[in-house]
Amino acid sequence: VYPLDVPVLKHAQELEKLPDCPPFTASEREALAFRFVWTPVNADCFVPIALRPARRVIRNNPRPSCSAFGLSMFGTEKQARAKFGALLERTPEIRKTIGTHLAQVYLMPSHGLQTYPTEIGHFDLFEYQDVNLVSCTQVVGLL
Amino acid sequence: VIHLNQIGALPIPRLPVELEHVRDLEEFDGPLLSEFRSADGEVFIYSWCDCDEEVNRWIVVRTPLQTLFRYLVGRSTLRELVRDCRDRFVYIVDLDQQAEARATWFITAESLPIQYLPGPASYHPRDSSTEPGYQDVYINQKWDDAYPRKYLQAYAFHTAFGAGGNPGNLKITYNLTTGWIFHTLFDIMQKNAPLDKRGDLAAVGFASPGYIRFSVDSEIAAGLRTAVSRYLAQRNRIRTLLDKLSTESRGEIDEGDNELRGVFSEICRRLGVADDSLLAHSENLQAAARVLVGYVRRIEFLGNNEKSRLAMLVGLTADGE
Repeated sequence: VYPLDVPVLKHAQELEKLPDCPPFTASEREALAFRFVWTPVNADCFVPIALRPARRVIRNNPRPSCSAFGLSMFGTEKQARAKFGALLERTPEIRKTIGTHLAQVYLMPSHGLQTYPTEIGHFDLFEYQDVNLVSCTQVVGLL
Repeated sequence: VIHLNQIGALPIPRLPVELEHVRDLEEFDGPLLSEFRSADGEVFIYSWCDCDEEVNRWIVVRTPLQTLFRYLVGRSTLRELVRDCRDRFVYIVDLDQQAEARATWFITAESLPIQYLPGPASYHPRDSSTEPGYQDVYINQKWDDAYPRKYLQAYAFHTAFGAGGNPGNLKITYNLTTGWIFHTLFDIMQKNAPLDKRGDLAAVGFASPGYIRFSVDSEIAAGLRTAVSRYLAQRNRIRTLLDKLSTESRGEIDEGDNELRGVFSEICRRLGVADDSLLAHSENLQAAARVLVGYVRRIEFLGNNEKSRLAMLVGLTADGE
């Protein structure tokens, strides 16, 4: 049972089982963010990797990490494309597993909690319950 | 996914060796490169290369530890790790959502399809690649055999005054004049640390290239890596400050010398060392200054090894953050 005035995160029951999840430094922010997606953009583009049907699993019964319940985002288009470039260099088929297009997502505080960006501009968004980011998303180009 | 039978890959019932997952080395929305070990300690990497709706495909390569460390410190590429592997052959495995192998192939490295081969600039991003509980060092054939001792001395200092460290009841009252006394002091720092925080030499691989493995507390070791990379990034300023502190601390220091106290604190701040704690556990500013000079000389040694590529710390980031 959650207090009525506190927003509830999606997958709250799973998050509660993980230590410091989301990290206490995660906060609500208004931001233009960039995310790897497939087209047409639909709800499937915003399923966290812990719950994706075709996720990469390397060992039996892996413990899900906190980050696996967040949505990967980047602060700028340049940062997102730089990361994609590095991933493509290491594995030419990377589009098959992370997406084929780059989209900009207009994030509002009411969408959820954002982790502090890493030095390469990557952060995770932990969505609040009932948030649908599809309508806030616009494809900006091919990856 | 590519039909491997059509490009000369040989289907086999399963991998010929049982492997246990050690750690993920690279990931983005899940693992992309992972380290595994066999029961007799051989290292294998799993490198993601393809997928369809049901399986993810991985290239499995037997990789000597020193070859892996060479990659992890940025001296070779993933392409070289796979294409130029010592065995000249690799395995390809299709894993389902339970990590069960649905199919396995044997293929020569030179027959790998171009779509599965990493690019010529596929260097490891130098972050988050340390194995918990260990600090690994990739060493060149011309490495200095003083490296393990100096690393462990700098590490001992961090168990007291670095990030995650605690000096406890440590009291620095030595008249620090010779190398032997410094050696004794670092030895005392090492013994002062709780057992689970102490560093030790765990393994040395003398192949050329080779590796050194220290058993460490991960947080303390991370703080030491930060100090080394900060030293490298701010080398000129730190050396200027250090020269001043070193010269002044050879003579009598006026305890009220605010300028020297400022130099002392600035060096500590730049390297991530707790200056107040170091002072509080030293007999006076002179003793603290001499300990700091001795510590920074060791950081300088580690940094110079990094720069000359004779010995490179796995997990060192470019900017010290």
